[in-house]
Amino acid sequence: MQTLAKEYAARGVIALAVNFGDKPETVRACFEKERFTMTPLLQDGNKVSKAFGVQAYPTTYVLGPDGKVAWRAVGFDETSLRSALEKVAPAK
Amino acid sequence: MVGSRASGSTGVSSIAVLILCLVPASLPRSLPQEDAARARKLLDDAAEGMKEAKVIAFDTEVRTKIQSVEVIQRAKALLERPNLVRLEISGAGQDALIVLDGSNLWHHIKAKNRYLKTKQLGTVKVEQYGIGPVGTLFFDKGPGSLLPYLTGASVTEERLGTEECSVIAWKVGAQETRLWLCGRRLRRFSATRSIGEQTLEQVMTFGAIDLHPHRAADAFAFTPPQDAQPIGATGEARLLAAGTETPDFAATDLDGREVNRLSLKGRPVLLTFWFYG
Repeated sequence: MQTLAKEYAARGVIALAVNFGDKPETVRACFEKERFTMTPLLQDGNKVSKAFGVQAYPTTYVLGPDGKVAWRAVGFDETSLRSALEKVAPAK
Repeated sequence: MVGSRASGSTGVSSIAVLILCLVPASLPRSLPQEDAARARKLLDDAAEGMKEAKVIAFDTEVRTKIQSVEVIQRAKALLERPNLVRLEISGAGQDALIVLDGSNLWHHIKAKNRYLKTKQLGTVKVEQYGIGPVGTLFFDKGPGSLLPYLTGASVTEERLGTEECSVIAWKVGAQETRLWLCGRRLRRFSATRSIGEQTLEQVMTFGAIDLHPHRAADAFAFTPPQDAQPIGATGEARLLAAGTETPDFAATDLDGREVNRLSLKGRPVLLTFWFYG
């Protein structure tokens, strides 16, 4: 995830990681320790998760520049995530 | 994470133990970078023993302890490169068969004769059943996904039964993980996590690894028994379909700045939902 986030951020994709349920200091410590470059986000309760219908973690969405859902999946599968990002990222 | 060769370094281990005894306990035994390099070497060596094998088989015992309740299960694992897994789990009234056939993950709960079919995502999903560390070394042909943890790992020596073992340990948040490598074999894995007052501990003990196991022709195929009931895939029912407008939402970054639908306008976005626990 981190590798893909970094690679596609360089091509203009905004990479956000919405946390569910952890304390802000845990989120900060985790991102600092792992040197994640995605932007960690906090939500009020599970409001954002609910808006996106998320019931399992991790769940990942790829949103297109047109503001529509381009792809989503539960779990992490690098190959399919990469192909989804490739479709929305500006050409190299 | 795993190994398969007989110990060939007992002499070296004994010297290491002797040196350890001479160092005052308050002094760090070695610098973190040295431990990281050593941990890497130990795991590389363990993987080396399986490098030529296309299929491996081993038994594991998994003990899960939550406070004073302990559940013991055994599993017989068969792994084939690049991503095939067959796990026969028994014990604690939870007999199950797990098959990763390259495309799907099948989980058949025998007592209830129900099965779950989900998309196979690498081999990560079966870590909890005890192939995890062995699977990492076998499938990645080395420490692979464990590497990020090794930078903060410590390496100490410990006797396990009659064997001299190296213990690689690291901590992330509330979870402590330890791997015991004896000679070039991964023997034990433990993960301990404290949640509030509760402690969850899981210990996996790995048997010898068979580098030339019998592999039945249908070992990595699963056909649901005729009367078996499917269990619906979890977590996907309410997700937004492709093509749906991004909903209104508001989240804040760690400095309190708001991120919402409008602030993302016109840009492609990778949006992942996660929790550390």
